[in-house]
Amino acid sequence: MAKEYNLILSLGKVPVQLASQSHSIIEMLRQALKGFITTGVSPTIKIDIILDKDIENINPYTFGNPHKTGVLKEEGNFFVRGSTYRGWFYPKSLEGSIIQGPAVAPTYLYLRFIVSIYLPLVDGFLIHSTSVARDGASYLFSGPPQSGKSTVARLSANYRILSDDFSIVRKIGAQFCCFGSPFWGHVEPGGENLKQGLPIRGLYLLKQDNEVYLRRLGKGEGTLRLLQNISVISRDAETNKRIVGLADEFTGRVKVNSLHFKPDNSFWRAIENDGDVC
Amino acid sequence: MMEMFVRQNQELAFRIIEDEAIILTPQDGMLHNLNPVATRIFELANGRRRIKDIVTSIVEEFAVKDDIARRDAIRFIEDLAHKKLLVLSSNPAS
Repeated sequence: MAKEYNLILSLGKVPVQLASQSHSIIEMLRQALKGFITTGVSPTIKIDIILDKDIENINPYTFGNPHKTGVLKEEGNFFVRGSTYRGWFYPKSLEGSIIQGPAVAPTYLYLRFIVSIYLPLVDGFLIHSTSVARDGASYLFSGPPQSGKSTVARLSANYRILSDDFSIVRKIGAQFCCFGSPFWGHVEPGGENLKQGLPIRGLYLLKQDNEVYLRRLGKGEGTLRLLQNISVISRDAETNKRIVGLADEFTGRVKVNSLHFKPDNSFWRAIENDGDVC
Repeated sequence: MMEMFVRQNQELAFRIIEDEAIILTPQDGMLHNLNPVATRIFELANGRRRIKDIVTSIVEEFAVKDDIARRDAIRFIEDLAHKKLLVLSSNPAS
């Protein structure tokens, strides 16, 4: 029997095992995801990576076009196909497999897909958002592509950037917390793994402007805008009900603002002046 | 058509916040945000009311001109049914 190599990641406190008969792909992932590797825990999710050298190798630090990912759900199981990989996931056994070339990017994309499906089952979600840790709290900055998420991350370089693209949120006790995420806009060794997560102080929906100010959103608009930024892939009624329920709860506990900002760090002053009331 | 019964699609995930429904449809992952009139229609669609009952309620509750309200309410119901948010049936829900 061929030898198997593996590592375990902690993604929002969810242990995910990546295993493969290819030593090189596991070592490549170990380097790229080193901030998220954990030991001494049993994996909740198990992923088998099957290397297919016939699949075109791509620059491991380039995603390609993630929007080309297609998802099919049949009899409760998922089939996902991207431009450089194809994978399966079985929610009942929490096992999956991916066939990919010798690169990091396909694994990242597949993991992002798995995490977005699994998190709602444990009171969490994956949100299209830059997340910044500051003074024991976390701040989420969301918006569509080109809204300024990466700009906010760049302008917050004095603080810890948890992700500049997709952030992991979980409800821990009565608080919504943000964890570090490896799902960045470009595959690179970024992101910090926060073992306990940090309470979320606010969600800021980005709007580039000539002025800097916050506009507090009502609960209805806030919930809608939040849901527009959550990865909803499952096509499953129960999971969707969980996500909508979580979004409703989130906006009852966390401030949601429209943040009009200029390309400098003055937006942090507006956030500071907004106070701590959640 | 006015005699048909109308109910919410049981697969939907939704919340009604500040008189507006936010609905997530599982088949396509689409988000829908209904205005207060459409939200009220959605609320009234319990499977035991006919379309004509819902239209009458909307006319009364929103105090608008009868013929315009009827036309708009029917259009809303057709639209919501087309988007699979409502299900029309010739029999009442059990």
